[in-house]
Amino acid sequence: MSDPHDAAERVADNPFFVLGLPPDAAARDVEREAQKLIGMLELGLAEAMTYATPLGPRPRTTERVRAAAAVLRDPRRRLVAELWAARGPAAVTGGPAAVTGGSDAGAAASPSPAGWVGALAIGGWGPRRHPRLQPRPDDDREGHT
Amino acid sequence: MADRPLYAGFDLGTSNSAAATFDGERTQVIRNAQGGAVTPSVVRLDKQGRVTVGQRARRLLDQDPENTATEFKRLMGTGKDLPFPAAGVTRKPEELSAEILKALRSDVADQSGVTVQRAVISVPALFELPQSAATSEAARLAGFERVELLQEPIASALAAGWRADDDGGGTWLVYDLGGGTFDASLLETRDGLLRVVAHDGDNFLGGRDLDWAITERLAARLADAGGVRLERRDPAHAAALRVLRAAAEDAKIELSRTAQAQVTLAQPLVVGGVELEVDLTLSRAEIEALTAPLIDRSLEVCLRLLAAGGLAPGRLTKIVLVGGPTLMPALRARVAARLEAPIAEGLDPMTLVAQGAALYAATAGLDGRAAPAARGSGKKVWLQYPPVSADLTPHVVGRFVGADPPARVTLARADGGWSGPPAAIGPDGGFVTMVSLVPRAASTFQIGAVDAAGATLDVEPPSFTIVQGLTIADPPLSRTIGVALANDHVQVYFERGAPLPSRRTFVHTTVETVAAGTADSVLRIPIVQGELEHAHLCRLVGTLELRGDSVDRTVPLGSKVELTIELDRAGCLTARAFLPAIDQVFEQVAHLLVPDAAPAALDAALADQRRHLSQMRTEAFRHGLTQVIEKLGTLESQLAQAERDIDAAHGGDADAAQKARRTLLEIDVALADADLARKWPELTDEARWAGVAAVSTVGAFGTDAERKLLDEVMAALDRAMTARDPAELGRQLRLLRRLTNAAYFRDPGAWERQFEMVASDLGSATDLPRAKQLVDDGNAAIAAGDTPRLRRIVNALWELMPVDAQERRKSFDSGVR
Amino acid sequence: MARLVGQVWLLIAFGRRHAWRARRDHRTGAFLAYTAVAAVGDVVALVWSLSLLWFLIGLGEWLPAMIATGLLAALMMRRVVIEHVTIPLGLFRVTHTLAELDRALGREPLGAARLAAARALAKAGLPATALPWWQSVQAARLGAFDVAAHAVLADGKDDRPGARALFESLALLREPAPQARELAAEWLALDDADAGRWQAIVDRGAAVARPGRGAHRRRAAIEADHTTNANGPAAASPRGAAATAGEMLWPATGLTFFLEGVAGRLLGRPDAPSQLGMWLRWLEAPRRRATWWLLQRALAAGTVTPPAPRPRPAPMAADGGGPLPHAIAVHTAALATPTAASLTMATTAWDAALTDAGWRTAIALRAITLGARADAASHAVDELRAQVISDVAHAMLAAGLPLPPDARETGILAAAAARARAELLARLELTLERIGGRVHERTPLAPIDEWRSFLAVRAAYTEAARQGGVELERLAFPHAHTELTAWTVWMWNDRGEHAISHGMTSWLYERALAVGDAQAIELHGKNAQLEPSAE
Ligand SMILES: Nc1ncnc2c1ncn2[C@@H]1O[C@H](COP(=O)(O)OP(=O)(O)O)[C@@H](O)[C@H]1O
Ligand SMILES: [Mg+2]
Repeated sequence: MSDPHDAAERVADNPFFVLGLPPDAAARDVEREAQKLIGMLELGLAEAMTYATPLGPRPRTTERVRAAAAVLRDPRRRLVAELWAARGPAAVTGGPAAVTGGSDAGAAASPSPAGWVGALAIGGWGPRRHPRLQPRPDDDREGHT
Repeated sequence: MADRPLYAGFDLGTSNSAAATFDGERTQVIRNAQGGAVTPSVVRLDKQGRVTVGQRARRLLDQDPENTATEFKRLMGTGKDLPFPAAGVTRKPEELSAEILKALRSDVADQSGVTVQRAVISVPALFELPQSAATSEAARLAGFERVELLQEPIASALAAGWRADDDGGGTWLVYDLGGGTFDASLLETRDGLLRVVAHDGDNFLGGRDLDWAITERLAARLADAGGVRLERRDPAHAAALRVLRAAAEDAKIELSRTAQAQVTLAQPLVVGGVELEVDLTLSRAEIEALTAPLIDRSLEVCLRLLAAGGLAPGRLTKIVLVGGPTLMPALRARVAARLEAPIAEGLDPMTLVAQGAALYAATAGLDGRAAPAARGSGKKVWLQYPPVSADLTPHVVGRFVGADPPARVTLARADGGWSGPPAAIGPDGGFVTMVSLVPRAASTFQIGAVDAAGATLDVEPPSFTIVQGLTIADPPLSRTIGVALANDHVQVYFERGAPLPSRRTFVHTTVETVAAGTADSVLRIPIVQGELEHAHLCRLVGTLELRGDSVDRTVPLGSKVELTIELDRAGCLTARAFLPAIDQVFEQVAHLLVPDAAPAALDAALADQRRHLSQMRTEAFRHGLTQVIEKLGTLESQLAQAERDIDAAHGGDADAAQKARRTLLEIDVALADADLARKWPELTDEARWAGVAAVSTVGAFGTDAERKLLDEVMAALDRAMTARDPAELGRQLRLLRRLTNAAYFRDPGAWERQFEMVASDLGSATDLPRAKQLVDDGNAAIAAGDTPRLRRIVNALWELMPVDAQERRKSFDSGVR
Repeated sequence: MARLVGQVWLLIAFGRRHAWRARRDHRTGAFLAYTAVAAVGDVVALVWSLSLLWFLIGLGEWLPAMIATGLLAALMMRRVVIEHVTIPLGLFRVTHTLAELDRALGREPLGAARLAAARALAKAGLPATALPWWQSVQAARLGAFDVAAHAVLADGKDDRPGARALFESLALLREPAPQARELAAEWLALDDADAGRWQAIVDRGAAVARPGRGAHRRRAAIEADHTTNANGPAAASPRGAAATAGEMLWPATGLTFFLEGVAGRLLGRPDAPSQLGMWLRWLEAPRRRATWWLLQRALAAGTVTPPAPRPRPAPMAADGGGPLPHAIAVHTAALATPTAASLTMATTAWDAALTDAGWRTAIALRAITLGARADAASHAVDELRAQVISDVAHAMLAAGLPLPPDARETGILAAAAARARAELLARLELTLERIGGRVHERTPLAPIDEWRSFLAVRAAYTEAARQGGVELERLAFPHAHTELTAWTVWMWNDRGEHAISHGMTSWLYERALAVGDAQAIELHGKNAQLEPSAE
């Protein structure tokens, strides 16, 4: 088994959050909303670009909207999605920071002193020239029409 | 009427193709030059290389079979070259399909005056990627600018639903029996929206099987009448059988309308230089009897499908019949009776698919006309709206281009029946509003815009049209696509039914090292299609290769690979792998063709499975596993079927070869299951015995720590057995054995016993003389009581024993997990 | 005359060697004394050489004088020339030739020359045209110097993880190769300093040779160490019996010694050097200008008390709306920052939520409303449970959290831990099987790539053992033992790669000791005693 699983995905990509609908939304509303959002995304309207999740806003893409609508069309899969959406898209209390430093954070509680940044280069190591890597293009952004 | 859109749909069939158009109000079936609604999918190339297509080519099929090709749809995606000896050229299946599409496209142009640029082409529901890609390629070769593919059952259902008067939802069965394939699909309509619930089918069941059944009956009657017995596996009889088959087909079609038909041959039947006298008639009753088993096979598929969809027969709202053979009255009656549901009347089974494709072209916004050049001088606005909508009040989204957008827009229906409230324009020039549609008709809306001062502005385009009716939201993916992992599992990227277009990224880990600069150090990422759990049973549709000579540093095993796969609506798959460790991207997907099923390879596979099967049966009998034995029985009959197909494959039937390949794969799956069912009791037995041995050995010679560990292992062993987890059981067993061994060899007598054991099995040693020498030495060592030396000798003897090579690489040699 | 020269050389070498020892052991006095001895030797050599020159010039023998000057320069200054001229300029061929002179003088193995050449090659920007030449100077068998040379090249390609893995792997090799180890120690210390892993620098300073190196001498000591380990964790000491007997695994250099001091002071360790000691270390280290700032930081650090641990935040307040929304909230928060505590909290919440009857009835009603099949509601609940388990298991794996012990409990946490454990083992087994398959088919990789593969397997094994504890390692070891032993045998018997084969064996030996597999201990212990043949 591979481990491609982004554990946050399940919560954040909940179809109801992606479409911005409550879990008891009618099938008709799901279709209508999905169609509207895809239209807005195609035209690059700023309002539709992000959606709220318990883990903070995420970029909305046409693929996500399509996938979300497809899940909600299947009653079996929709039921599971409804369970996960039971809490709504409000951010978790106090945000992710709320649980940092639990009981096992003893060692990490006193942070290690800052490093000597660039030590290897100062020591004469590393590639001869320091080629800067081109930032990778942001794959998730949708092209505008 | 130049202002009306023209949506075109094409049904590229195995035996017959058709075209239809939709103008927003009505669908129209396009007739060809001969006046027929369907064009036979037959292409002929003559000496001069001139191309003849359709009915005229079909007539030449019997006279000049070498230069006339048909049923090439079945070879789509195989990359096989079809020879045309007279013209001295070969053509790929997609090139031949392109000829058909060209002919249909010009028929459309003749009747509507538009040379369509964009269109929808239907494909079978179970088409795999290579086949879909080949269909897109055919459209490109035929000159289309852009096409989308739609599954045939969805097209049929769309067309049937569009016609239906009632809008009340329900579950439909689309029963599509074509020339060579059978597809059954369960669809659901709710609120005017169509959804595929489940699909099933038999890729090797169709009109031609009926034809062969009839042909064989005719051949038998000829043999009875004192003639030769015509055999399919004999290449010398191929020509005669073809002639007979054509006659059988004609008779079958005639019998759809009449009760009695004369078998008339287009050509004399010549076998071995002797002409055979043929004077046969067929009756409808006879045909019904002959075809009943085949129809029952299709009904079995339907019932299986209903069960999978959780539906009792009789709960179906209606059955939509598609395909030539469904014109047979016997078939219609049998299907309706068995599935206890009404058959949708008034639909043309031959052109329904094309009509549905045209309707879908509207949903997808694929207007066949070339995009009109922007004319007006008004404010330019981009619009997003569903060209076809099930929803009576859909959203319309717009965005004004350029600076200085209007302040408000108002949409009004052209028939004056509705006018919306003014919609405010957002800061980015966008607006979102709702419109109200006329049910089951086209509604045109005028866009009215005013600036901040209230002055009316011209808008370009000034209006747009939405049709209200049955739609399908997104064409679903027909078969699951994923990546084969090193452990022979599949990481699913797109599940069956996933909306297209789609894109997903997963992170994998390499399990092999790619050595920089070494050409033969290759890491493969196989992309497979299919729903089976084991990767090697799915169809390999492409591989992404990371070659040692294309990386500038070694990628050690355990490196991360970010793989993104993208799939569009035209069956085109792209993949890119990003290796963060070396900051390199790989995009070269080797697209694979449907593998050729060589008869010799099939023979070998068949023999292999036979052996496997008989082995398993012996085992199963020995352990008295009745369930397994039963399962093996059904496999037996499947194997027999495969054998018949392989026989036909030897006679040159490429289609039967593909069918045999499928069957063999299915048997493989079943065998693997049965294997597990058989192995589990064996494994638990083994574990129990190992436990008994361990307790006594470790108890006698183990250390305290070992005894403690043994208790834990025994408990874990129990847990693995209750959880039926073979992997975990295997692990604990391995640990148990090591514990036992360690303790065992503390016993001074152990080495002597081991020595005797190995010595008794001397026959299987790889180097017998040396082994004999060692045994002599060992005996001397025992006599001298020299345990260390005996130990060395036993170890040396062990090395001479053969190790059974494991079959390690199964899952397309995948290098990732 | 020749004897005298030899004695002076010996004096210098002796002085330097003991000076480094003393530095490591924090014997400043001894360090100064030995440095003085070495310096005396240096002075004697210098005076002696100059007087020779003087003597020749006085005789008017200009030609011999010049030849002698050249020879002396070559002898005494060669190191300097290589370090400060040919390597920085990227003159790899010249570097190689000069460094080979050592071999000609019978002092150093040839590998050191390749290592020096690799450094020059990296400085030259690894020109593709130099590749054939580089191949032509490679030894037939891989040794510690070559591993270090490959690490240098990896560093030159900006492949830090690759370089790190190879440099660290010197710890597994028995060959003394002090130059290679010094270089590795410097690189590793710099890399650690860069990332702020100060503790790692301190640890490396204390590391002694592993069982593989001279295993026959120290085996008893290490075994004793492990038995005490097994009896009680408290008995384990980082500087066990072996420390006194063993050589330093990472010989100190001026730079590493300075960084060790900095690390010690920054971490506020009791054995950190004094202010004066710090100054001395700084003076001994190269690049004093660049390290001035670091020295100041270290000097200041001694006086500052470490910051008080951050106050622990209050556990998350229950989210209104019943057990299911609460479980989802805790779950979400735990996935965002997975720690043992947050995941335990989440799984407890799930255990409560999944047994709650309230929403189960609601979901059954919803299923009917949606027109789903009869079993849809129970299916949804099962699915939810399976997804939660999978999420938690993956979060544990991704965050590398130690798995909770395999308690025979039900509940989400136990299920997730079991899943994670099975996954870890399955992954490891897959990798081992692949290696085993390759060994079985006798498909060779280049020796350095074999070594890299081994390092990757070892890393995976170590990580799995760390997460799953000794319980998991006991299950993993038999398989690793089977597949990897075949590998070592192949590498040793058929391919003659003794150095790396021995490295693998000594690691297997160590793991066998850790899991207490008596047979494997015996086998690998015996194999580890085989001497790798010289180059
Ligand atoms: N009237 C008819 N009665 C019975 N069979 C027919 C009739 N018309 C066509 N067929 C059979 O239908 C098959 C072709 O069906 P079609 O739906 O066109 O196939 P495909 O979808 O594969 O192109 C052929 O086997 C042909 O013999
Ligand atoms: Mg058809």
